Amino acid sequence: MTTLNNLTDFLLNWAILIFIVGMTVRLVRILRYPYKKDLSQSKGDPKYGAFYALTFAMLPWKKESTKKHWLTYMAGMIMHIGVFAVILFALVKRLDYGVELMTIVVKWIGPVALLLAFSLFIKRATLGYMKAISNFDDYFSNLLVDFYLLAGTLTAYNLEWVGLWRLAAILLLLWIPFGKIFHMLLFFISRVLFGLQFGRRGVIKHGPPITY
Amino acid sequence: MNNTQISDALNLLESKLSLPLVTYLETCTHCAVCADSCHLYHIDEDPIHIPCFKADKLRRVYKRNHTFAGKYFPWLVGAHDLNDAELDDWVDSVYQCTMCRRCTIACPIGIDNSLVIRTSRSILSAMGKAPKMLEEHTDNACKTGSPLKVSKEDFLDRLEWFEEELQDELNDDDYEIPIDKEGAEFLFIPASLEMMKFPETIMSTLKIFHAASANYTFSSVRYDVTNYGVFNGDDVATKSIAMKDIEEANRLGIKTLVVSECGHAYRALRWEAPNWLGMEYAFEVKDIVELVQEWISDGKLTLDSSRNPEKVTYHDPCNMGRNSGLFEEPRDALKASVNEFQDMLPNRENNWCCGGGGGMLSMPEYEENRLASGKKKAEQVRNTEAKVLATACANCQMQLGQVMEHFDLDVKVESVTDVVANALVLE
Repeated sequence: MTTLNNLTDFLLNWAILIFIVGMTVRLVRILRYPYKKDLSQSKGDPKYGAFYALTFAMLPWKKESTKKHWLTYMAGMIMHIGVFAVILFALVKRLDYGVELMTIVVKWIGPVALLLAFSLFIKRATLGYMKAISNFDDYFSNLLVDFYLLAGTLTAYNLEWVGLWRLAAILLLLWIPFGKIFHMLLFFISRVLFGLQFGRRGVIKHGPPITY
Repeated sequence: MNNTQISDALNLLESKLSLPLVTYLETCTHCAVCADSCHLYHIDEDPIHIPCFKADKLRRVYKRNHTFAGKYFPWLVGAHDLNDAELDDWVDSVYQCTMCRRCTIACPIGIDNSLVIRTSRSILSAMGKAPKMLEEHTDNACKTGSPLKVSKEDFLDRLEWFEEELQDELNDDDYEIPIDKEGAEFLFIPASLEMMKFPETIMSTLKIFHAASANYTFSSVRYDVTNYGVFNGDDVATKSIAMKDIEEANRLGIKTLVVSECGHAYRALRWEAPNWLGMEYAFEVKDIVELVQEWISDGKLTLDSSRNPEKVTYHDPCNMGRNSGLFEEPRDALKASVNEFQDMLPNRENNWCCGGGGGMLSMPEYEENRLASGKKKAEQVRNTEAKVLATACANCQMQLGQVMEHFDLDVKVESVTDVVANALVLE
């Protein structure tokens, strides 16, 4: 354990550096593609569309898909909350502030998030339609997140696992700039682009009726 | 395909990459939420109809050529080289899509699969792999001005017939249909499908123009507003067809170009063409239903809703509703014209596609799936117990008529202007 702790402590800083450089390069490369001014006559409010797309449109009762598939939606939401909790746990440990509170939070949410995240992996690996749309990245990214959740949760229960947690963080940091977890940044750009166009066309309006 | 052709296809892709397209190509997490939102997937739950599966055809080629992981470790991220077999594999997936964007509304990330499919079709079309009838219709539109080869003489004959019919109905021998009238307020361009299959819709429109005392004109040069290049993915044809409409509107000096009840033509002219052509219009573009609703609202049309006593429901054409925000205009027009109106559920931006869009009506090789994909729509209509199904798109009208028959529903399918015109009190 001591060897792993020492090794990962050293490698983590390099992983963070590679993560920052990788994320920046990929993001800048994408942002350099043109976004042309829309020359059609506007019918609605693109800014409201973007605001709506990032806020109210994400509410579970606003989307048919979340209403129909609330179990998958909840699994996904709790998995993401769990990941953010474990990341926050890492940050507070570095800052040595609020560690006790986050330890309790991760002890509670970590196991649930891990269970649900792994259930999504099982779903992908077993259901025919999920297998048909999946590639290595889909499985690998899920497993890396599961590993990070597992190691972070174990550390919340016993600090001796910190080396394993760092190892999970290193692997995750090295993979994110190249794989699909990069959606953590592009998600917001995509939602804004969606909202701008649907707002401009008057599809998203102030106070739209619920239509299902 | 030789190396030059592959290179051409990749260059075409390169030229089409924009911030939205690249974002949508890079962001999909394959969560499969889009599967359930697609009417085609509900036929038999074949993965070929999952929207992200269709989009992945282009996505994996994009990754192979434009991402670090795809270039050096393609198997890690599912990246593929572009070759003949790969493109052949695209065809069934990419063309069996109505580009209705229901999956975009459902997608947690907001990915516009329609844009990805449109780009994929452009590449297939440029490589000569578009379905044959779509190619033919697009060629016809470029050469004769009409995908269904409606000639100028046919069109003028039709107008003459309409004129005589309306002279009788209005009991007015002086009634004339204006053609090529410079300085008119409105230029109305119909769709060839209406001219050939639903001439009553043109008659209804003419009655409404007459009742509203509208200063309008037809054009003897541009008499078919459909743009098959949109379905086919042929960019050159798409721009060329749209440009001819714009030039004619400018030549006649009209204030508003009025598109008939043709969803894709409205979407193309209203929202897409200014960006394809890099120009702002000197005139407005409106759908006929928008105008009808305005005239009802302004009290220009006198309506007797008792003339439409049966329960009416409304199908939102995807290109008019989800893609153009025309939700309330047709509903307001219908509510003013019928005794009983009932919306189907879901509706507006969540409405189920009828299955006839995206050129599906012009691809006989997919007819079986096209009709089967109307299952969700048929269920919706059945649940309303309506006797009349109104819609604002000739393409949808054609498909819905066949879907009602296919699923054994005794429901009459009409255009919105037909329903309004039926309630019209002509003095």
